[in-house]
Amino acid sequence: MHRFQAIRAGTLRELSALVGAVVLMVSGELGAHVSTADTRAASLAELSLEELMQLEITTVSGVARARIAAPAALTVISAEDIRRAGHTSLPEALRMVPGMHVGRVNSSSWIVGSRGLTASVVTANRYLVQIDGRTVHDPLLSTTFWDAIDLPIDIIERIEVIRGPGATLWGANAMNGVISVITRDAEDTLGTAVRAGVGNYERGFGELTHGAETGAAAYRVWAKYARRGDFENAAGESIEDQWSSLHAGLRIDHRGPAGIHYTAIASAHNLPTSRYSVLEPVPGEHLQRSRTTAHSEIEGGHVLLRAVNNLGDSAGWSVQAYQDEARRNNVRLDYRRRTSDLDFRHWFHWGGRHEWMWGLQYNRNRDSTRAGSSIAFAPDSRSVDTVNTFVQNSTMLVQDRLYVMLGSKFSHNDHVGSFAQPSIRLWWTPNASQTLWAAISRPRRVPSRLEVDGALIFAYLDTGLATGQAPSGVIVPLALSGDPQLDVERLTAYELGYRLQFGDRWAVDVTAFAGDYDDLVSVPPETFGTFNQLGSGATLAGDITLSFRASSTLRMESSYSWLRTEIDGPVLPIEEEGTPRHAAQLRAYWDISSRWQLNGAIYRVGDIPRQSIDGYTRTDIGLSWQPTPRIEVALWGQNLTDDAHAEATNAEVPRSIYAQVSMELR
Amino acid sequence: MHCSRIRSLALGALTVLACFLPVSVEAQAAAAEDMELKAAYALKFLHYTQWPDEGPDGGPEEDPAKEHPDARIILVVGDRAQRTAILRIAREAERLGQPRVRVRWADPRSVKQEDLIRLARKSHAVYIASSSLEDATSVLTALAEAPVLTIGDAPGFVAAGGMLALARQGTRLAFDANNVSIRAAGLQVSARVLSLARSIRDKE
Repeated sequence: MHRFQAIRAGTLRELSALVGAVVLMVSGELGAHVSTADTRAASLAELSLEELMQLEITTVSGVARARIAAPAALTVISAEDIRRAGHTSLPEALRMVPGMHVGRVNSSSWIVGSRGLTASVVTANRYLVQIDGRTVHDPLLSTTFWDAIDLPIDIIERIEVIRGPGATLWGANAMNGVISVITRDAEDTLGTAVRAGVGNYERGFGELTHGAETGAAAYRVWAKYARRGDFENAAGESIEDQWSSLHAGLRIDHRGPAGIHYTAIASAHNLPTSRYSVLEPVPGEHLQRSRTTAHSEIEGGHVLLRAVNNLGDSAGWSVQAYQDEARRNNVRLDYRRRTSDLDFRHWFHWGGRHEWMWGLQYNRNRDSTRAGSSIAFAPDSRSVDTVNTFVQNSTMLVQDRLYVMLGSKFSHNDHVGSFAQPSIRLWWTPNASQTLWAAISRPRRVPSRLEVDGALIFAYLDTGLATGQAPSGVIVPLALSGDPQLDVERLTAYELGYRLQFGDRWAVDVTAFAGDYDDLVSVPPETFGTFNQLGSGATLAGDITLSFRASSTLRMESSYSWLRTEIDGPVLPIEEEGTPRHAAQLRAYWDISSRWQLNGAIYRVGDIPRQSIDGYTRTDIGLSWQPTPRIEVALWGQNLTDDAHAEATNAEVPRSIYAQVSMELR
Repeated sequence: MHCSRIRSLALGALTVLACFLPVSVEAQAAAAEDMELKAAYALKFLHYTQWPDEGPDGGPEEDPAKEHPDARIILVVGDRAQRTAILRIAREAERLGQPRVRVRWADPRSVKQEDLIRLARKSHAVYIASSSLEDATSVLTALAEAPVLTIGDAPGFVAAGGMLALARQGTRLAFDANNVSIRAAGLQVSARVLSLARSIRDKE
């Protein structure tokens, strides 16, 4: 019977690894493939036919058991979800996550985050975004440049999103959540696939993926080009923000001897068009601003190498190294960055009830900037080293029922010195269809480079004119400046969640979050001056998700989310009313016949009083048709019930109609 | 008002929790995902089958062993996720010292029937991962009497001439065997496997 125990131990391993990997970012792929599927595979491979016959099947209504049991506010978006919701970019796909605020700043940038503190691009900086274990949020602003990660849908396996702290083991930016994009194994994308489309906003896009197997290795090459239109302001004037992007990449997966899985991933991007139109301060002129309409140079690339040795149920290790380079140059700032990262981790089973995992990570981030008209850094070039180490233990307290996970990450960063991020997570699975979980975490956030030694210049002042006297000729910038003395931000987060699957058709997921923030890096009340750490406050959030499979041909997902934010301190009060308090959505996927599918979604987002944005309802409907099994034609209407609406700024998101053809060639 | 809504949700969750306490003493059987379990079965079937004249020159008609001398080849027809599940377990099994298995995949909707059959004839076994018996029947008909082990999970698979059919029985997975087809193909499925079958079809 010890093998059954192996399966049960696999449960603990799986769940703790799911948290360990997803919440704590072991690495995107590792989290999924090694920790859950491969662990189960290892256990199953050991069983005899007689033993297999004794196993219970637990997948009901298509919701994986590991997901039901995951002790975190976890949402998994599959490639199928993205396709059936008609989204053409990663940030847009994140609208499907309950409680996720996705606000379009303009045609090429987005504010994305949940659990509050997402009122502006500068302050929405507490979410970690990774692709295949590579961090893609940029430490300059602690934000994600979404225009630089425009992947083809066909290579995405899934997007895992944790709403809530994920910083305990990995990522000092994962204070309010983690978004992890996992691309498919090269073995899973053999053959050639093409996707192309055209529309009024999606002016034209094309994706090509090609994969093949050679011996024990498989590879995939891919490329995507997309051209998008401009947005208008409320007055109906173009804000001149049209853009196009070209991305290409390569992935090789090799199953080497001794069970080691080697992966090499590389990508490069360039934006042939990236227009912007901004009011910029005029240096040397008292309170003068002039409109600049120009083009940003945006390019970058990365190489990642990884080896994973999963020793079945009991142990394993992984080593990963990557280098990522990026450049963004426009009138505001010229910026280059090079990130090098090395990561090792090891996990093992001990004593039947314990899983241990520990790891080491070294990250070097080197940047070089040249001041533009509104952003400057001093020093203009800087290299920051971060060393992280973590240890985590998951223990099964009651056989198959009650588990606890304790862990902490210890970090040393050049800006802020050393700090620890402990967490405790407890979960109870009375049976395979329900889980109750609770967690207390104390994540930290390292201030961004802008908050430490940057300056955001709003205007230039003549000191004489500014004091009501004659012009003095002494011009000083009116700016929001960094403070090198800033320390880490602190959060104590309390989470509670309950997940239940009832019958074959229904699943419900409820989460509650209370965050107690201290030493929040904040903007002073006057907006200009220096960043301070006088903010403190609380957020309270909750969401409920209901999944319903009406029949084998009709599936629905709905959710409602609520958020309240209260920030104290002599700081600019942007956060309380800068994020919608309510959000709800309903999505439905209907297979009309084997050739026709009708998909639709309604997203309702509440008011954002701070930006004078009224609540809006977005309705998307898509019809797809497969004339032959290899070809799919789809027609999508997005934002159909609304001519245009603002989401985060005065830029209005237009109604969008596009048609798309996808084809598999062999 | 919203605070009270959250509070009542939390209280609701706790109330539900209290209701479930009494059932938690019941022991829970070990469990596996449906597709993975099917994959594990398929690999066991492959392991316990002998092909005619099995040896370096034996096996399927077009001798897949030429390409991969040490490996057995299973072709998954239909759902790609099933292929992935078989592949994962096959890799783990290989690491545990079990013989190597190559897992191929073909989508019947995008591969021509003759290509599919050619691929199937180059394999030791075919797993038809489709709930549609229609997909299975054409493959089974074309493979009739060829030394290829046919495994499937569509209802009626055995009646249509399939050799080993997986089927849910309550919360577990069981299988039916068609000894007529197995014999006609010149295959030998171990008695150990046949003794565990829920039903065996022994006559036409």
